[in-house]
Amino acid sequence: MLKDRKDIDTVFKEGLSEHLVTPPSYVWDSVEASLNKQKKQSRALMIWRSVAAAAAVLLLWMSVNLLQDTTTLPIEVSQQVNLKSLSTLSELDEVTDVVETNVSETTVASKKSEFPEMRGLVSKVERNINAPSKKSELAKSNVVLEPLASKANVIVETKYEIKSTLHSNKKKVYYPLFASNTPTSQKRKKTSIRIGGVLSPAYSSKTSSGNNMNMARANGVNVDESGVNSLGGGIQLRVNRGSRWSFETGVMYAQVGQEVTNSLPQYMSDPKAMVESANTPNQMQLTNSMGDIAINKPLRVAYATNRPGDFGEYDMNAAVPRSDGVKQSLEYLEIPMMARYSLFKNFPYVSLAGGFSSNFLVGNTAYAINDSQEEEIGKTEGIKPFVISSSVGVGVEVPLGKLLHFSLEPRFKYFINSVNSDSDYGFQPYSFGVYGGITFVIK
Amino acid sequence: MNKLNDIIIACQKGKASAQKQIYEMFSGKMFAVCMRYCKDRTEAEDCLQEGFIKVFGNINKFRFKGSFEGWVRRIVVNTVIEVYRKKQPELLVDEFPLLTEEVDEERYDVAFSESELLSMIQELPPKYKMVFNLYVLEGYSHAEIAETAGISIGTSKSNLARARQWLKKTVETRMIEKKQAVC
Repeated sequence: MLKDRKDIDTVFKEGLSEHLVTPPSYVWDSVEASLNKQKKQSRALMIWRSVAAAAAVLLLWMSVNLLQDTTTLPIEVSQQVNLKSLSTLSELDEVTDVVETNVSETTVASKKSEFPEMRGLVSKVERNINAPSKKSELAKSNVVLEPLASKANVIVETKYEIKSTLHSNKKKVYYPLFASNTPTSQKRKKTSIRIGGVLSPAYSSKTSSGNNMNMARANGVNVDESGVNSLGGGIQLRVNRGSRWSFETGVMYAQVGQEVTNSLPQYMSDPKAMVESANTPNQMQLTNSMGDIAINKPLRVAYATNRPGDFGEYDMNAAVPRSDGVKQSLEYLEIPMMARYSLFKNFPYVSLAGGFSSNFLVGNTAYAINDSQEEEIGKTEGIKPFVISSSVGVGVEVPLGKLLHFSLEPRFKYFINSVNSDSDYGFQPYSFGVYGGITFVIK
Repeated sequence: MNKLNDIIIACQKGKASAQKQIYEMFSGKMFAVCMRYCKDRTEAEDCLQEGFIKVFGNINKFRFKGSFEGWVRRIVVNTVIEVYRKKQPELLVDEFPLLTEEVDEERYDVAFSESELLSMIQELPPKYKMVFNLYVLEGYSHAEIAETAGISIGTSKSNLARARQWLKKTVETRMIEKKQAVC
C-alpha cells in the first residue's frame, strides 16, 4: 500500500499524462479562416513586392535617362559635315522629313528653329538613318520612351484584409495573492541595427543672396542660372532601440551645383577677342552667384571666319563661337545625423526622417559647356571646406525577406550656410532626391 | 509514424486537408494543456487557436528531429506564456523568494479523476500555476522556466514551492471530503 503512495508532483503528473479535452468545433473553423486569410495576405504581399521591385527598376532607369543628355545626336555628328555634298536645298528638305518621322519630331524641329545651322547638321543624320542598323536603333528608342511617359501617372492599388481571429471580449482579471513592491512591468527593449546602400538621383538648385559684385559686372546682360541633375549615394546605418524612433547615420556622396548661361557677355559681340582672352589663364571673369571661377586651363573655343548661313565657306569645326555655358559642381562627403519616426508599427512601413548633415568638400570643379560637352576649366573660388545642411524625408520600406528590406525615400536637403566664404556670395544649395536602396538587418 | 510524417510533409506544402488531420490528432491533448494554464475555457480556446495558427505558420521549420507532438506542445506552451506576458505582465515579476527549498516527503494514495486534478490546478494563483505546470507537467528545468517566462531562477523555485504547498492543502481537503462522503 505504501509503495503505491505518490508525492504531490507524481499525483498530478501521472493523473494528467493522458488527459484529453475535445475543443469545440468552432476553434478549428477560426484556425482555418485565419490560415486562409494569411494565404491571401501573403499573395497580396508578393504582388506588392513585385510592384515595388518594378518601381525601383523604373526609378533607376528614369534616373539614368534623366542624367543623360538627350540632345547630343545632331551636335556630335555635325563636326565633319561638308554641305557641298548636298546638291540642292530641295534635297535637304526631303532629308529633313525623313529625320522628323524617324527620330523625334519635336527635337529636330525645335533645333532647326533655334539654330539655323542645324539645317546643315541634318544631312549627316540622314545618312545615318538611311543605314538600316541606325534606323532600327532610333526606332527602338522611340518605342521605349513612349510607355515610360505614359506610366508617370499610374496608381497602384492593393487591398489588405484585416485579420480577425476568435477572441473573447470578456475582460480577464487575475488576483495575485501577494502584492509586489517591484515595478509592474519590465520592458525588454531589443536593439536592432541595419546597414544598407542607397543610390540617389537628385536635382539640385539654390537660393542666392548677398552683395554680388560680380553680378554687377554683367552690366545689364541677363545671367541665367539653373539647377543640375546629379547622382549620389552611400552607406547608411540605422539603430533602433525598440521604440518607433531610430537614429541614422552613414557616409554619403552628394553633388550640388548650377549651370550658368550667357556668362560671357563681354565676348559675344567679338568671338575673336573672346578666344584670345580665354586662352590666357586666370584672366577670365565668369559672372555667377556661386563665386569667381579660377581658370586653370584655357577654354578650347574657336571662332567662325564667316557668318553662319554662308554655306559656301562655312567650316562647322570652327562654327561654335559661343560657349553654351558654365557648370559649377561641388562634391561633398556627407555624414548625416538623422532621427526617424515610424508612423506604423506594422506594414506599411512608412517613416518620417529629419536631421542635419556635415558636408565635407571633396570636389570643386568648373566646366565649360560646349555643344553639350563638358570640359573642365577650373574651380570656383572661396568655397568653404565644410558646411552644414538639413534634410527631411518620407521613407517607405518593403521587406524582401526576414533580413532584407527595400527602401525608397524622397528627401529634401537644404544647406543652412552659404557654401562660399565670401559674404558677396550668399549661395545656399538645395536638392530634391529619391534615395532608393537595400537594407540588411545585421542585429 | 511514417503516416504522420507524410501528413506533416503535406502540411508543409500547405495542404488544407493535412492541416485538419494534424489538428484532429493533437487538438485534444493541446486543449488539455491550455486548460491547465488558463483561467477558463474561453481563454484556453483562444490559446489553442493561436497556438495552432503558429504551428501551421512554422511547420516548415520542423526538421523531423525529435517528437512532433513535443514540438507542437512547445509552441502551444510558449503561446500560453506569451498571453500571460501580454495580459498580466505583473504575474511574471520577481517577488521575494523563499529562503529554503522544501523537501517533499509527503505521500498520497488517493486517486483523483483527471477533471478533479485539472480543477485543482486551475484554482492555483496564475503565477504558481504556470511554474508548476512547466516544471512538473512539461518537465522544464528552473533555468528553462526562468528564460521562457522572463523571471529569475529563485522566483521560479519559490513559486513552485508555494504551488506545492497550495496543492497539498487542496489535496488533503479533497481527501477529507471524499472520506466524509464515503462515511
